[in-house]
Amino acid sequence: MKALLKLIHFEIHRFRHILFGLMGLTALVQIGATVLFAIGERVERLSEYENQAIVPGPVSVLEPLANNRGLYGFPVLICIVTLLLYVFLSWYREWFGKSTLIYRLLMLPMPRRNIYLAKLAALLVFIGSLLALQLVLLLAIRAVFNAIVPDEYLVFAGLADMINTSAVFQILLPLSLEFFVLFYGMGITCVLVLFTAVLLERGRRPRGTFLAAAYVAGMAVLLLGTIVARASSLHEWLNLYAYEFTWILAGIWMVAAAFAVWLGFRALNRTVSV
Amino acid sequence: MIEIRDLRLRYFRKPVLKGVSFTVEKGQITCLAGLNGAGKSTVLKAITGLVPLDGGSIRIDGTETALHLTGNRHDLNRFRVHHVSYIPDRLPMPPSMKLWEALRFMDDFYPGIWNGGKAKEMMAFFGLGERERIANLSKGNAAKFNLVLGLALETPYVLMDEPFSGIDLFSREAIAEVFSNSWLEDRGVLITTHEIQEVEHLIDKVVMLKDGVVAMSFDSEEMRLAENKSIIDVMREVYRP
Amino acid sequence: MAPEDWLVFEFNTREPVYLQVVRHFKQWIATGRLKAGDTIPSRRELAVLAKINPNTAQRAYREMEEQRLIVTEGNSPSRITGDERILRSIRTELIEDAVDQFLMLIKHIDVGTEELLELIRQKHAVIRSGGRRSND
Repeated sequence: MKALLKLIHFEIHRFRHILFGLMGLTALVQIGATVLFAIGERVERLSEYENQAIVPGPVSVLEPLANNRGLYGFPVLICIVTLLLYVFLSWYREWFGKSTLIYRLLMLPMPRRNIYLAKLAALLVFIGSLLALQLVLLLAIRAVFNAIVPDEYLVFAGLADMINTSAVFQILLPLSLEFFVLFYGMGITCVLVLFTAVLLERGRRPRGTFLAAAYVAGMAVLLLGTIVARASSLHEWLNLYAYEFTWILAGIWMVAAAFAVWLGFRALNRTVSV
Repeated sequence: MIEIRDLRLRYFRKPVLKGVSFTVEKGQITCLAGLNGAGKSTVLKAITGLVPLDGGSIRIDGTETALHLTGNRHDLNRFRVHHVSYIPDRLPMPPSMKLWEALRFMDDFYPGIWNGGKAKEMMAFFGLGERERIANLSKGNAAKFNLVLGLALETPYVLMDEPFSGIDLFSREAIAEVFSNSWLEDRGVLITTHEIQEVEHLIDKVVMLKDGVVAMSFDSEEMRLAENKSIIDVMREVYRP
Repeated sequence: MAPEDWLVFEFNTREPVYLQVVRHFKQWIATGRLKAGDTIPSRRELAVLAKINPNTAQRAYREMEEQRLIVTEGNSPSRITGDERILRSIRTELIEDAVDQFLMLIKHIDVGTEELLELIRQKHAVIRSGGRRSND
């Protein structure tokens, strides 16, 4: 267990610059944009108050959030793309880097599954910390907005409402536990499938490439199939409530996840080659 | 003793190893010789567990460790790491690390096997500064540090893949001294090298790979005594095109 | 002998290394660098000093013990033998080896023994007087 923790620390440590960069970018863009919008609202109200023309109404941080979803969502998109790249590159760079670190990883005196688990754990830590950051940032931009716009024009904005302003936040920071579990469960299952696919591909050529392709294709058919099934009215034909059907299909995803992990461990122990 | 028996490997359709068998004894320096592409590196990697084979047995001190036969159960990965130290032809450490960080990594991850004192001794012997970054090391110094990382692990067997390749003369001489001093004491060493002239006089046993099998295996001193032939003489005979 | 004196630079790769080491010991004895009773480095120490494989040092010492060039008593360091007869026979052996080599080299040259001896006498005199003159 200690060995696994050391390896997780190693993986996180290697990635820290990029992680901090992503955090910094997100904070900068979201807070920066909020400051600008808040100043705009402030100036608009103060100057017009002087002119006594039309007195603008109250406002909350929800407005800039809702009107500039693309801007606020942009750094989040960067984070997602980066983490997606991490899923692949955190493995491939061990083989193709100048140092071929895969030699070192496979020669550590610990079960090889630790390598898989460490990369997974690191990824979860990255995702978790970015999500936590986003929550904190939502609070921060509300505070900033409220500090800049004069009190008389402020309206309360709840965190839940802020999350509901954009689809991005609704998906990433779901308000319902059920949706959270489903969405992140599916996401992690996909990550596990991709990890295992990479490990299969890294077996001896040409078998490795073929196995990985077959595995990905098979999983894609299965998992996309469940989505198609859920979207259709199949559940009626099966005499099930929609949500019952959802959880049955979720079961398929869980089995897929377990299978991915098992297969990935097996690949690390038996077929992976340098 | 490491007993290699009947190793087989095909790469795509082409057979690379067609039944390689030989032994590596403790306290001896064995050289695995062969032309480019003969599969010498692959044999070393197979012993280390980095390349799964199609067939054959690899017994280290009596315990079977071949990946394809054992599925690499956890206890075997540990067993292998405790018994064999593999020094590949490049440094398996993140280039952004400083040397002292790499040493601390080894100390951290190899408790009970890593000998930090010996490592410091070797660093001093090779004149390597701990504050240097791995990416900034010259080829010669990288090879020396690679040796430190491999030899400070207290394992009974050491595998070296081309320790002299592409390195300047003085670094080569410094590395050759390793074969005379106490760091390899009582250990079984298996090395592959193209610069055979560098270590001719240091090798105990030669195993010659040709066409996927061991064409010849002999004690170098006995060859000299019995037939007045140097290792290079024998290589010329065996590998004559 | 200083540490660097033990270093052998070039090895003939067609002759067993351990026998070459033994021959070097004989040379050191014949030239007085090693005297009767001198202690010599341990096998492992010699390996480091001469930059040879410790197994080679081991074989060399065993050979020298068999030829009674060196003596090892219990756990004490080995020493050069004190036996005068053996020491003298080394000297003779080396000179004979050199003569054999010399004669091999000139085997096919047509030259009489008297001419050879005169040449040797001249050259030997030059060396013994310490001077080194080019051919007069």
